[in-house]
Amino acid sequence: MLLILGSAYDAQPWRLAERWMQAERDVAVATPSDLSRPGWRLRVGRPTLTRAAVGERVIAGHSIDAAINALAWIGPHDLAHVDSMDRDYVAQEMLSFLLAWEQELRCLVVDRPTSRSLTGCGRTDLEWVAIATCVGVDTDVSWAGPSAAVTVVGGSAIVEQGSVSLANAAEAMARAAQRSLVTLRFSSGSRPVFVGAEARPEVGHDDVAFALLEWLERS
Amino acid sequence: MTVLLWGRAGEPIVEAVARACGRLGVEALAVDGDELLSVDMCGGMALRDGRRIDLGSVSGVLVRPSGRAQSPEGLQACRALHAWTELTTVTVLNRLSAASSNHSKPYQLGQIAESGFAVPETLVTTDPDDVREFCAEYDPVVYKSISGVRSIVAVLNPADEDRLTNISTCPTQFQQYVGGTDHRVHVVGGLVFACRVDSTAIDYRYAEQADGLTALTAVKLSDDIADRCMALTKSLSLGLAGIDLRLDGQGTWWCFEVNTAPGFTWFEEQTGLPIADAVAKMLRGPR
Repeated sequence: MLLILGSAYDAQPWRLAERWMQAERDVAVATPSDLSRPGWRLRVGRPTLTRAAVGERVIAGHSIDAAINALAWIGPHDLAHVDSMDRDYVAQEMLSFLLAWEQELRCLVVDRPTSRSLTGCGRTDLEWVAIATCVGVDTDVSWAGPSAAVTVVGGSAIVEQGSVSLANAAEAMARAAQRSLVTLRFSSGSRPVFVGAEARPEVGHDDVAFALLEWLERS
Repeated sequence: MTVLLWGRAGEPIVEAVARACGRLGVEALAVDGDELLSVDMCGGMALRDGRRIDLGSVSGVLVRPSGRAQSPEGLQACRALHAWTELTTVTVLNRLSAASSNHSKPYQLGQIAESGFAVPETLVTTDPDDVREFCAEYDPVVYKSISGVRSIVAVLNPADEDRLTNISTCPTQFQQYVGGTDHRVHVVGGLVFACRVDSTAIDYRYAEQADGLTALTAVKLSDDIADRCMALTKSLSLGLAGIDLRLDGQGTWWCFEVNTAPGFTWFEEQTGLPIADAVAKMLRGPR
């Protein structure tokens, strides 16, 4: 079973799930509102007791083959079902829970969460600039013009044919940042210029979805 | 060289470290986020009052939660300063990437468990039946927040049974209660400052609110436990830590939490342990 963590308000995780279901994989998308279902369990240091509750399914941790984070954090906007006075607190509690819960999974967790982001990175633009500079990629994080998103999956950039320099730049940055799954943005032009990183990877595109599935099944 | 105290002037920790810097003859500058106009990572910080600080002249940074900004310019400048603290080689107590480990108590507890300290059995769940099973095995049980939001640790009582269904809305943390004597250990680089906490309350921080009493006494830890505290601090990539330990009747040391931005002045005032001096020396750097 492949578990995708995502927001109910973000199309990307749902598109990813749709593509994988078309490929006849068992997939579940867990959203913040699922954390308000009985069944979630974490026992620190006892991974065999880990459990999730997604939709009507209660899923034992050991039956999850891989987990993908398409959710950088949980905000009050994700919790319309919670009393508005409590949303900030509940959002923090749920975020802190997921961070710990995913550490107990013994399956492949793509870019395991850190305390800065559930997607495992949480670097600021300026930290990305430092990484880009280290690998020789030009930067302009104040760029407001058109940009191209490049997603790197397991070391390989998913780009349109002919964008070799863009692919090289994205792959070098992902490698330096130790990211298996990341979406970076570059301005259009003859040379790749890094302009920003997405807080969560753009996993909904066909080519990314299938590259990710192939990489997961190979890993 | 300048020691940067990134926090609100007047906050007890900021004041204590500023005074300690003064005793060392080191310039200390307290700045909160809203005093910042801009931060250029390659150059310096511009303050609203017109001053400019060359980041190259900063020997160390103390990061306090009170340093957060509210204004848009301050927020932007803080993001840049945070990025600088992540990348600089000077001493930072503590970098956000390391300090945020205690934003999730069970996440941090997993890291603590690897340090050799005993950790209490911990359940986080949305299922009331899980809690009943856990209580049957580990009675008494306490509950507390999962995140860094401060909460008063409380014992789960039979009267709470009616409220257990509420946990289905939000994962809730339950923990085996471990009896014993609390110890608070502050680690500053390679120095360990320990005190014993004798309290009438379950959560000694709130003893007064419950008409209770708390007394602090400086103690010397065995070399083994002191080394373990230093190793734990290092493993969490921290230079400054407030470690909550409890020594049970069988001589086992339990660790509950590591505070990554410890408010050490209360412990210092009660025990005379020179924690602020140690922090100032670390931020000043070697002479």
